[in-house]
Amino acid sequence: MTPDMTNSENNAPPPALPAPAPVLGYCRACGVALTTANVRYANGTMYCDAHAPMGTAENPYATAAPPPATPVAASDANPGLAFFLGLIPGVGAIYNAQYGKGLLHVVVFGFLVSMADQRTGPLESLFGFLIPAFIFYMAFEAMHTAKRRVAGLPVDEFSSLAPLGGSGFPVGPVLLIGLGVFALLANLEVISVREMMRWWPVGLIALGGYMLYVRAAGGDKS
Amino acid sequence: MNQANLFGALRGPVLLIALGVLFVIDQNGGFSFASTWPALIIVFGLFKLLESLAIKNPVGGAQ
Repeated sequence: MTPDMTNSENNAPPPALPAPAPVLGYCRACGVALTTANVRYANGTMYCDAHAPMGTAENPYATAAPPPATPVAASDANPGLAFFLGLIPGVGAIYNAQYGKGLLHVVVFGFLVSMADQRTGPLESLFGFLIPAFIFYMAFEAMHTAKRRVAGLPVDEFSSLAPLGGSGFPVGPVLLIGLGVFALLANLEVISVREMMRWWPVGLIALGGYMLYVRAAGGDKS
Repeated sequence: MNQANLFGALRGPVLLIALGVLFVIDQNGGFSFASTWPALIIVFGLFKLLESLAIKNPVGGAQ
């Protein structure tokens, strides 16, 4: 009873699955599975025998096929336009399709403006000077990014902001959470921004401590 | 699907829910949205933190 069943089951699969050759891909024209037996390379992609264009060769690199598209195609971004748009907070980065960076620029710009408006004594003028500097930073950053895009170079979205992730420590998320907690407490008037501003040098100490941590953790970062 | 993808997929809906909760509080006389919006930054940062931790040491083995 069962031996017959198992025998038939054991006998059935080998004819059904005759050790299939590994499928390399599928014909671009008709979708049939391609193995080494029937694959034809043409114009940088795979076809079956029936649909291969004329003048094909077995080796895809022997033909004068167009080079495969690079991940970052050279765009028609205009560096001059990027510069002028960069004078508007965030817009230069948006022009370069760096939406996260654009949002960050707007947030930083708003932070600088509100800090300059806090009447916090000498720091007020410091932030006042930082604002025009940041405006020109955004403009030149957008221009350089646009030049890289025109040249077809890869553009990392947050390349020029901070070496985040280099040390393996999740700096970005922790900074975000810290900023959120700080803003929430300030909004709910648990803490006073004006009182906190007296402690701004602690930020310098924290920055120095972080730089020490990075250099102690990984010697490759200079 | 690994955990980092899971957290990435959850982030949008959870942020939308948090936004709705904040607006409900705003509409019903609690704290105004003008003072509670940083909670959204905290939620976003928590998700990024969970993602980076999941990438660094994946739990469950399945990459």
